[in-house]
Amino acid sequence: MDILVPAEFAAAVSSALVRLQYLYPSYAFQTEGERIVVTGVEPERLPEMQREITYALYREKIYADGLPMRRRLYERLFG
Amino acid sequence: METWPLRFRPVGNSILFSDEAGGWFRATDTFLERYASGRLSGADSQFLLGGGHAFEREGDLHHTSFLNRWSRRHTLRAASIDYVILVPTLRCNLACDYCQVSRAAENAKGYDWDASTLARTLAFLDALPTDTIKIEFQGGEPLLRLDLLDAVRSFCRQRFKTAQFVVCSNFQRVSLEAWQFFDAADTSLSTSIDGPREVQSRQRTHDHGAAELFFDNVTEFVARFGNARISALPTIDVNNPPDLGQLIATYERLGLNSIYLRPINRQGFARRQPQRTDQATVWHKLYGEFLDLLIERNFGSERIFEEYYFSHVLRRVLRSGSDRHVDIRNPNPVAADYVVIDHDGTIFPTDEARMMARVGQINLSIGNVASGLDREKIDQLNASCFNDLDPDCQHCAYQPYCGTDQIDSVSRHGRVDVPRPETWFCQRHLGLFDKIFELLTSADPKVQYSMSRWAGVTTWPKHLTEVYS
Repeated sequence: MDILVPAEFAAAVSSALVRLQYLYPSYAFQTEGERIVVTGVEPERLPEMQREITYALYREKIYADGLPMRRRLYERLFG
Repeated sequence: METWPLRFRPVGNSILFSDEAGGWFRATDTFLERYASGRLSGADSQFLLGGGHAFEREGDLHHTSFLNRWSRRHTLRAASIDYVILVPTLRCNLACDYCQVSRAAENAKGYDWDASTLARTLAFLDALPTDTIKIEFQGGEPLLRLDLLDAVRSFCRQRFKTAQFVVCSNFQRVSLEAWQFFDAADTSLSTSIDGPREVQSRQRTHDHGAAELFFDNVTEFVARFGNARISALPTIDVNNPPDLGQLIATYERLGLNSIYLRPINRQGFARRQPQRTDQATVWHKLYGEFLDLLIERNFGSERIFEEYYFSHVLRRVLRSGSDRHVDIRNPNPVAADYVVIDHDGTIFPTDEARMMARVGQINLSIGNVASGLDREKIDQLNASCFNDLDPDCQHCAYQPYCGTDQIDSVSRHGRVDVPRPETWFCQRHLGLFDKIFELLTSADPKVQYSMSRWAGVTTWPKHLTEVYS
């Protein structure tokens, strides 16, 4: 299966792939251009994996976007 | 406007979102898509600002309020050690199959505090920079050394402004002196009731007569002192669980309204019995059925039954400050507010650490009453006492309410850095939080009846059932 990565999530792809490979070690994740390609997924799990890949991209982007705020929060509270 | 980072998890037919200060709401997948891709609408921004998940400028009321809530969720209330578990003897007069706290035979020698250990323990307590103390006597069977319990209690009553005592006893043999010991408003009993007489006999006493005697003693305790100074918990064998309805009925007959359902922890001596690989799945099913039974039973009743741990974790979701249960808190530093002093004066961070040392798994002792606390060792253990930066937890919607338990990780997995989803701690709590949010957002009047009482509110907020789109 493969998923097209929207441009706004391009920066999150590498960290999302690391996390997906860690969570689903029996599948192989790689990029081909603007797509994430996964091999080894059983047909009945395709919809679930599509959602998980999308969510992994969301989570990594949210995490990266939030880092400056988290840093400022720590500075405010802990000096 | 800036939005604080939101974590999300599908729960039921919607998505649960939470911020790091514990604020939460449910929304649709389309909102998630707008949020993650940075295309929030004006209405979205107002919704997030109104819910405390965003702010206009650093230092404004929304921002300061969030920092306050974040801090309160990360601050332990206790300023020093004020909860001490004491093990005056390892000897016990029962031999439960799954005992994990290392017991010695009733007539064994060398497993009790000697005069020197008692004196040093009292000196340790005396040096604590607090006016409040809670002492939990464990064992072994602590009632075998009532003289030591009495010495500690007398000392604490004189030394501290407020002192409370809990005796964790199998309550099998209760002498006249023991009854007199319990006849005090500052002294409580904690015991184990696994179910009706047959279950208690099978798992603990191995003798119907002894089980009968135990229930007579519990009934006598409630008759003499009421149910405010007794707590009881069943230890559940997931391979052979009791009939849950009968379990509730047993507690009801004894006048007890709070049941702390715990699965057997197959650690320590209890490792001799096999542990199922699907324990979490089986446990969640059993636990869910138990909660459903409580909800059904409670509806319309003035007498409300609760599952103690569920109520505690529910309060952790709804507000800050529920940080005295060491099985679930963040941060969870050792030796910050409680320690365990063993029968030989060795100090352990938790009872589980005591057990691990006893069976030769690993020695996580953090000092002894003769030389005091080992600060270097405490610092090493505390390097992993919070979940905020864990690579799994930092993506989890339940992180603000959850905790971490480095001692449990070492006990079960041999290390502290096991991927969270593979740990019993994570599996247990993911299922628990899923159930909590399922019930928190339920529109069923029966569910709301129990939930409002478990949460300690008079009416159930209607907005909890709403899903933002």
